[in-house]
Amino acid sequence: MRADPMVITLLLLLLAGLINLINWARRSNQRSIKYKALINEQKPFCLYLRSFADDGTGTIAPLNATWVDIKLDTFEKRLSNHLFGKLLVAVGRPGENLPNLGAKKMYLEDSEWKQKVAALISKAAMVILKPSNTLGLQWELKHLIESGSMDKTVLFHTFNDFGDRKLKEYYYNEFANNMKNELGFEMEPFNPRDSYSYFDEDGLHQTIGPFKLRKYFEKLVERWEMESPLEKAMNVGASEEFGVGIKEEQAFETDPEGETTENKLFGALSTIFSGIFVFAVSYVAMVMLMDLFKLF
Amino acid sequence: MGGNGYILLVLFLIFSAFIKGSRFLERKKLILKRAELAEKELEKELLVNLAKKNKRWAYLYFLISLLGIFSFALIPLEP
Repeated sequence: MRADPMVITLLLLLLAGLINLINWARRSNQRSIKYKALINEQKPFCLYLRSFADDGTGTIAPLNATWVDIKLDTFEKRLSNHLFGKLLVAVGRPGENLPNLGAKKMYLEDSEWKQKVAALISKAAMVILKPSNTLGLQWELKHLIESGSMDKTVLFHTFNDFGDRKLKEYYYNEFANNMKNELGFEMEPFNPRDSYSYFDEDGLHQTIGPFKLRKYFEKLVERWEMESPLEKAMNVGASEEFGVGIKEEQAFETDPEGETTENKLFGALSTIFSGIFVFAVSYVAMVMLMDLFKLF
Repeated sequence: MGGNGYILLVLFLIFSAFIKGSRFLERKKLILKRAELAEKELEKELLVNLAKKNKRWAYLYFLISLLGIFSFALIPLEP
């Protein structure tokens, strides 16, 4: 059968529109998570610390730059894929309407974020840090070291490098120098293939591949489960000395597990309707274009 | 419909290449803005070089889009 270019074009348009709309539907159907739910729940989670400026970065280049602007694979999404279904949480950018796919977001007030992040660091089974030179992240890194949480911290080897290897190397070396000179942690030389790394019990820098991240998380969860509930409560209590105010929080509405059945149903329905919408628009556009070309 | 279908496909490719070129130009501007804020000379130099690379890619895509427009002369139109 001879492939008709008209059909190919239509299929390309349909595919692009569908992917974008499914992505949009998934992003708009994401549920945020409440701080209090996480603190009270005896459930291991992974905390993702990054600069807000890094949100939405890391899209794979060939798709990112096309006119359809498909943002399938941000750093955050890739990270959540590597954790494969484990609970990943992050602080959301205040006032954002459409959070990026990947981590479940919680929204904190400007005046209290430091205290609450400190409490979350104590409670988390694993902390993933994406290096950046913003002040907030520098504070988080210092707090991780001061609170003795580096043994559960994983460094995510991604930078705002626009996909350029030389720039990535530069940022990595800058970060490694900072870690060595100011914080006393020596890092391995730059390797573009490294995805994640951590500091072991002896303070040695170890790298792990993306597919071992989940196993490492499970190992940390085992240790987390060994801690008695009292210890965990004390951990959180210690962080509350920074002034954590959970009294003003309302009771949590969101299951820390994730979406409710209604949300899933709504997500599925909006995906189907958006697909039908794209199909209808493409069909009308095709008919109009065909009419236009009949004039020639 | 074959000939007209090809026109549509080429139009799609021209449009894609043009938008892709514009995106590279936008990215170039973003990188230059970051270069202005860079504190260290080496970072600035790397960012400026990257901006130049992006500019070259942008022009390449604009050229592809232009070639696409000229290629209309080669497509036989159906009566």
